[in-house]
Amino acid sequence: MNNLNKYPEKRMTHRLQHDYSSHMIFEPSGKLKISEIIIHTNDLRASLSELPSDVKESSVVEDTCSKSEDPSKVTVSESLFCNCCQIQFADREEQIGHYKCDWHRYNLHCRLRNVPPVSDEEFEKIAGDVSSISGSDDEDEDNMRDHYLPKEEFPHTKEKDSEALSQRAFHKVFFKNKDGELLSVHRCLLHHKKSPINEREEMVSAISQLPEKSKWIILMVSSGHFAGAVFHGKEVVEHKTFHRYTVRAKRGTAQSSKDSQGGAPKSAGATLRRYNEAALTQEVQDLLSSWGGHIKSCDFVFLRVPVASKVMLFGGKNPSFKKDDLRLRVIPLITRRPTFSEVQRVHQILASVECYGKDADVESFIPKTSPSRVAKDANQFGKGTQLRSKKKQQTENSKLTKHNSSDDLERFPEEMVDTECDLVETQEEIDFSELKQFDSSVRHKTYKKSKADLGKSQKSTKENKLEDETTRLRNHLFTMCKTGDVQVLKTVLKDIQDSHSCAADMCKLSLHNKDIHIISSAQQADLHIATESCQCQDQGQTMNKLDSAVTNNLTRSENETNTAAISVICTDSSRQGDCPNEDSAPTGSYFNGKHEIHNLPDFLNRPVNDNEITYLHLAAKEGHHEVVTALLEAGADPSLRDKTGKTPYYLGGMDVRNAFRRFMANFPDRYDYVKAQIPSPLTAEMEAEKKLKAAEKKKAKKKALNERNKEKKAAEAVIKEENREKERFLGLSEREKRALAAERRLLQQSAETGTVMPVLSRCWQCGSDITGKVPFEYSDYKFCTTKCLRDHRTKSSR
Amino acid sequence: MAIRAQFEGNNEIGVFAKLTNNYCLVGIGGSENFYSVFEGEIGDTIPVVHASIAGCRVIGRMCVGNRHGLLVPNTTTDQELQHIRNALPDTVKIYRAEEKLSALGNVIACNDYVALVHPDLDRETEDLLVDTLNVEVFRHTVANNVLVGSYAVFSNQGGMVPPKTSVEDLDELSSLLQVPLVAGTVNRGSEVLAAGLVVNDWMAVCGHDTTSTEVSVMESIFKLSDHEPSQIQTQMRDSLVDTLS
Repeated sequence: MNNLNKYPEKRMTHRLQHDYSSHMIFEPSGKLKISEIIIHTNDLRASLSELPSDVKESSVVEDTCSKSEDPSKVTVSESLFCNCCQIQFADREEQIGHYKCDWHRYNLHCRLRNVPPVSDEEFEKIAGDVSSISGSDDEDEDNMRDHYLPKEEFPHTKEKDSEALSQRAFHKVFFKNKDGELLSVHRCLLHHKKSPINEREEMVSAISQLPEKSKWIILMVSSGHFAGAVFHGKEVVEHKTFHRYTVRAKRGTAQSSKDSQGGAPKSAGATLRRYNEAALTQEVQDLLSSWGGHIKSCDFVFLRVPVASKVMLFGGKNPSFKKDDLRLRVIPLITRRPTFSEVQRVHQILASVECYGKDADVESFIPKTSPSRVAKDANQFGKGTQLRSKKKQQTENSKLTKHNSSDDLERFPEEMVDTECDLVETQEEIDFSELKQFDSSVRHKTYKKSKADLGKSQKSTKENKLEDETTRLRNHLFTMCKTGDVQVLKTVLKDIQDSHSCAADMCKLSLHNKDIHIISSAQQADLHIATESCQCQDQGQTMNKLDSAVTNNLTRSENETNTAAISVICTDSSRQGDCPNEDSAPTGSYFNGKHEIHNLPDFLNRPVNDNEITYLHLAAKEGHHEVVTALLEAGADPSLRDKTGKTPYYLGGMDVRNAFRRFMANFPDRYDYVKAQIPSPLTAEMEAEKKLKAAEKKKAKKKALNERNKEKKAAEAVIKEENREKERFLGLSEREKRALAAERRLLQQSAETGTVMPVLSRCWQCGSDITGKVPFEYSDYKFCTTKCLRDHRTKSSR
Repeated sequence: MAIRAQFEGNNEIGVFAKLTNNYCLVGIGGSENFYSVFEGEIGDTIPVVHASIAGCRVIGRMCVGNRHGLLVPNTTTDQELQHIRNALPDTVKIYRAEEKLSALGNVIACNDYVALVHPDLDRETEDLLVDTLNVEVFRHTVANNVLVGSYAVFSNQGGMVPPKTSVEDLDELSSLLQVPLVAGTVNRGSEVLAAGLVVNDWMAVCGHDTTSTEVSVMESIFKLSDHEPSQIQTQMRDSLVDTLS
């Protein structure tokens, strides 16, 4: 009974316990509780039989839970333990401090990613000896997290390496040893940037000397951090790191660079940073002067120093380094915050030789460049060094590296390697001669290459020159399209066309003269020089000079068949009515480029800028319809679209559009007008008809306007008249109004009855009938109009 | 005592209200029912203020505050800030926090002495919390969830954490925050506690769906019952059950 009395209150707490424990089932300890529940249920069932069943159940639960956790009894836990970092604290202060530190934060992130937590020491190792992480802004921290989280392996992995290779120029030099295995070392170890090694032997000797050059200094400076170390072989002889607060916390630049922009702030922080910068410089300089002996005796000094901090090394009264010291090298790697471990990493990477194994292909490591650039390089090679060989191998004994037959990228610290072996250097140059055909003109396809090397270099320089001329010509055309200078444009286009046809003639002729196989491309170039010089002549200077130019070329070419060919062409040009001379133009500046233009439409249709617009787009947009017509006649294709997919027709105004349509009418089949979005042709008749129609329309419009005006005027007049009548009527006296009304009535009556209308009143002046009208009057005289009134007045006053 | 309320049919009370020992903010609603619940219970002791933050009614999730102060996100308009300033007691400091995690209520849980914050909260915001709310700040997670402000709720008397919190974590948090903690739910099993519940040292308001069990857990842990727990409930119970069994 006792139980029943407390039933309502108990029930509540019981339920609460029940709910609560059901939540706890998620936890490992929850299972235990369930088993307890079952046991107690069996025990209690009998004794609590008078209670409703649900209460019985829950009372059981209450019992189990009450032992451990009753919400009203729960107390503050005394455990001073961080589950996340797995450490025990001595006191509350330590605990509070721990939850603020970066290590705890790092471990929290680890836990969220289901990564095991790191220990304090490990974290120190990961974060380095950097004290300013906590002060740095969020991005930095994010970077740090991304950088250091355990999922990332050592940053210098194979993928990254090959990626870097494909992006950069050759920062490594590849060698092949006797066994045909591919090796590479960093280029900066072999020579200074300012004293490049061209000769293979030198390169090999440089690398063979490397093992002796094992005393290195590595210095890194960045944003208030300095790290430097002296290495002798693998050993670290000396090392030192500094950190000073110099970088403005939020903004991110050094205080000095802010100061140099003017308006140096005077805040406490700024002063502090200024002082620290000076102090850091001083510290570094002191350190370097104390390292003087090492600096003198070292073989290489690797630097990673921003421009602003160069003063640390090269400034001061007695600078530690001279700028022209050939031992100074820039670290050719991406480096992180200057720390001792980072310096060690750099040293390890630089002091290692990579071995790619036997099957490795150099080309897979050489960065890929676009074909055009490759072609240019190939030209340079042809011009400069004469290293046009497929593969040259040279052998030389060297004491450089031992390597096991590693199959893939593996790095070996050079110091560890001492045994003798043969080293074979491979400098691979890819022959791009097959690509050259894309670079130069179409015409070369038809001719076979002769053995003659004469004029080859000449030709390449000539081509460069021609290229310049072409660019100039293009610029000129651009200007003309922009300004709408039709006259000049037409002459220029004509000139280009003429020269083109002329060149074509020449080609044809030389083909006729059966020497297809003999005329080498080099001689073709000569031929161009000849024709060019011809065209540059004034009209007055004729064949004499042409002859001399030709003979000049002739003396240069030893081949007699060529003489024949060229002389044929010369005679041809003289015979065909001096065609080169004829087309000399007033300006002449665009002449030189036109040899390049073998196909005028192609030239015109080439996109002008990044938006892929053509000259036609340009002219259309500017609204120069005459230019548009000229360009269309010269072969500019209106169906070409710019980058945004717009045709020239779309861009033009009415005039330009009509120009397009007119052209379409004249040359219905020349271009793809559907693609050019030109809707319909516009013939002269259509235009005339349209004009006529427009004129008619205009006339009709004018007429309608006139009529409308007339009507308006008439309506206005009526209203005016009415108003006047009203005024006059109002001006009448009551008697007169009545008289007037009577008159009107009479008139109406007479009108209704059809009898002749009686004349009741007449104008005093002209005597006309004013019956039923409001008369004009003065002093009892009544008149039909104001004119009568005025007349009467003047008469009477006289 | 704990009372039940609804905001326009929505049980997530903690989203639309912010209750502290010194003031109460209530989102602007279509009907006055919700407001009158607060006004009726505590209107005579602390100010109950209609407010919006950055034009939103979800003020409970946007701002964080205690007896000493109030932090609002930087999206709060000047007008809203002025209104809150005018309505709250002069002892309450109000600041706008330039924080990337702008829903401050979701990333910070606090009472008058300690605050539990998202691990990635800005250092500046942390400093601002210390200055404005006079609290000790701890970066931690609750049941492996970084949104501590949404999942944990605690007053100066006690606190609740989601049921998925492990016993070890519960211990750790309890020792860290220096309040007794229990795992529990609100609104018939919702573990997003701070969304379904607002609490200060003498009253709690929870969603209409909250079961009586959940209510009684709240009342016990937040020490909201008007009378001391009876002897039978505390001391005598164990012995009583022992005799019965």
